[in-house]
Amino acid sequence: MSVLDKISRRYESISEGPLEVRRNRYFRVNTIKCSVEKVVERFSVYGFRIENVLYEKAFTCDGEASKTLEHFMGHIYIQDMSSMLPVAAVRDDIGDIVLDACAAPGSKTTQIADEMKNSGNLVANDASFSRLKSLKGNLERCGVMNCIVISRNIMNLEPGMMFDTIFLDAPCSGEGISGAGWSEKKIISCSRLQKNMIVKCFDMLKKGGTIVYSTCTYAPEENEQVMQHLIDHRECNIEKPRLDGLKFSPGILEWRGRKFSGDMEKCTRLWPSQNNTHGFFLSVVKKP
Amino acid sequence: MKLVRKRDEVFACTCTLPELPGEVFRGLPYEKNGVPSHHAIQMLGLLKNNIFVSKEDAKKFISGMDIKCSIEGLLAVEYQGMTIGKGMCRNGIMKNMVPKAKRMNVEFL
Repeated sequence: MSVLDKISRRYESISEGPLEVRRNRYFRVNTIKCSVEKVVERFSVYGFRIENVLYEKAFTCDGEASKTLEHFMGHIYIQDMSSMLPVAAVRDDIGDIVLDACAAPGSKTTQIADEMKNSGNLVANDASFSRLKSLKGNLERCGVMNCIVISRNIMNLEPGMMFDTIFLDAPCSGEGISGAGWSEKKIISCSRLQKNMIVKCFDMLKKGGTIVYSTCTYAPEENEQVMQHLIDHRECNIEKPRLDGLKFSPGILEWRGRKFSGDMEKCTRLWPSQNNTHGFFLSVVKKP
Repeated sequence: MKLVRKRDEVFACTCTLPELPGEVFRGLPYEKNGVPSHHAIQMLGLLKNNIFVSKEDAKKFISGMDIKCSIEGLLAVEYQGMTIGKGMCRNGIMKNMVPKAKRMNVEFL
């Protein structure tokens, strides 16, 4: 039995449609360097058919956007729509001091910098020093100037300040992307790590601040169960993210006999067949 | 925007926070040993002299090849109103200065 078969079987009671779909190609306009109108105009000259999705800067494209001058110039960023969700969901509510807790390779970091209009303070952390090379490359290509790159294990991070917004795209078992190296054991070990990380990140948040938690996996152990852990240990409010024109499912309330808070319905589950993207989970939490 | 020196490199930065524990760098590479970086030139211009190139030469330049050039010195390379990089011209040849990791074969331009 293939890994995909094992994953499909594990989630057959909660999944929406098949987990293996032909994914669309997506890109995002990097308005730090170029306007949306200019990119739309140039892509029409190339003969590409593009369609606006999710928010004003995101598009699906039938051409090879990775072979364009705009890609070389950093005017666009090729990124799956699911990966754009955490930033798009809170784009009107991003504060002045922001932490991207697991930043490499920099897709979300460059998107956050764009939404911050390349000003304010964006702290991008990644525990793996070797992954900083790809992060640096993408920050440079996109012309990001408001970012401070640090390399720390998030559990030992003592920045000496509190953040307005924290993005935690946690390390996960990756079922929604490839499922490489997938096992039940991996789900459990990831879940344990994610629970520690979310509480640590929550403690670095200012009052009234927002934490955006996301994974590219289906496992409730790594999603709703992590949110339940936060609710059980800290006073917080889960909020419904702003996701216009997108098909998605709410978080689940029960998994393998374990019941979760009714607030989980405010979480977002994205199944591949709903929008032809990777699988994804998203939750927006406010600190009162 | 302010300029922050880190060893022999200067970064252009808009952040205002003091140095953080575990900090690796901040901002956009601006210049190294007095020479403006590829990314700063794309973003901010910075070079006085420039050369306008054809579609074919732009393609060659982005892929990392040297191109013919009639002016001498360090030049910004312009294509369709965009600064796509920089090169050093000597004896009629412009030495390509696009960072190796950024070179690519562009098909649509």
